[in-house]
Amino acid sequence: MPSVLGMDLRGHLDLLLLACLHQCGPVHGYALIAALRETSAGAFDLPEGTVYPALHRLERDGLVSSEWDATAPRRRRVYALTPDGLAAVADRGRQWCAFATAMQLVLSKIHLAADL
Amino acid sequence: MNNTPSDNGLPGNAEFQPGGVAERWLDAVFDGLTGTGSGGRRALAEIEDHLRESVTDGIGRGLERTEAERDAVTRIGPPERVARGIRATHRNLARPVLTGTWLLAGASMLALGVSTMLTAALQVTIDGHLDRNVCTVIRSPTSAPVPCGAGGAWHLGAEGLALVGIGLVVLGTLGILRRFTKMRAVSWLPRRRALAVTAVLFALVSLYLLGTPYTTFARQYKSESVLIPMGCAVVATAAAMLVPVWAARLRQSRSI
Repeated sequence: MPSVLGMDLRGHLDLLLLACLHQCGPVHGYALIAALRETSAGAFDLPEGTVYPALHRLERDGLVSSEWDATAPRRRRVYALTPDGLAAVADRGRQWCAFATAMQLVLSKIHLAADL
Repeated sequence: MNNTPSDNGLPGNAEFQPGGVAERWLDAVFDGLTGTGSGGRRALAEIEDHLRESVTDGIGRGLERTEAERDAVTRIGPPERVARGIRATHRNLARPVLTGTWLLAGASMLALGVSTMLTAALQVTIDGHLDRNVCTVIRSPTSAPVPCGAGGAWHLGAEGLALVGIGLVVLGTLGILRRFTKMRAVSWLPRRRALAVTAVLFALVSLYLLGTPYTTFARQYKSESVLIPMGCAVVATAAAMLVPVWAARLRQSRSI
């Protein structure tokens, strides 16, 4: 699993993909990767091959659905959030925000101590 | 559909150079997708489409075709890692094997129990037509031989009934715990929350099966050490508990 900014992305990629799908709407994998890169200002520039197994797993778990887009010049697989996926991104997003807030509180104190 | 990098007026997705970097990369991924079935086939089609868009974008940025292909395969990652990710999603043999073992164990106990009960029934039925002196069981060298009769058959029938009961419990538990994913795919067992049930079930069955020969034929095998069947039971119980835990942890470690 690739690391980004020195942090292991294990366990976070699913939430990132769900959040991007929520933001972008139905998109194919290539666009989803580009959206993730742009939204994170380049921080999440992942090996692009890691995304498709994650999308397939999310589909297997019922959080996303996919279909071939016949309107595109070439046949593309378009992914979209399911209602369960929407609920999952809301739930996990809340958990992550709470976790990030708590981490920030602890780390800010450490930073303050280092300054002293 | 949002605008994609390929929707900016460039011609349609580029074709790969025959035998070039991209085609060799795709071949390497394909080699690693054995056993993934339709899921792996679909993933390969998507990744090929992804690669074409990436090459097109590279050409649009001014790269030569060969450079664009090399850049695209670099960005998508090593083919071995991509194939491993697809295999992890679409090919997991540990849980189907465990589910199959579960099914086989239940069916075997059911068949063995029915066979034992039939044997007991035959013994009761025809015992009256046999010369009782022909069928004897020697309990000790000093005691007189006693005829085997219906009493032993009832014990045998009870044991067969117990095996049938256990087999039905094992198969019934499998049927109750079996689930399907939202996409209607079979969700193999054991699931994480069923690990405890699986472990206890297999432990009890293994203890019963491995202890039965000793308890049933105690007099005949009195000189045998009790440690052998009990040791086998301990090993079987430990394996029954550790294998589902290992499978669950393996699946957890492969999840992204």
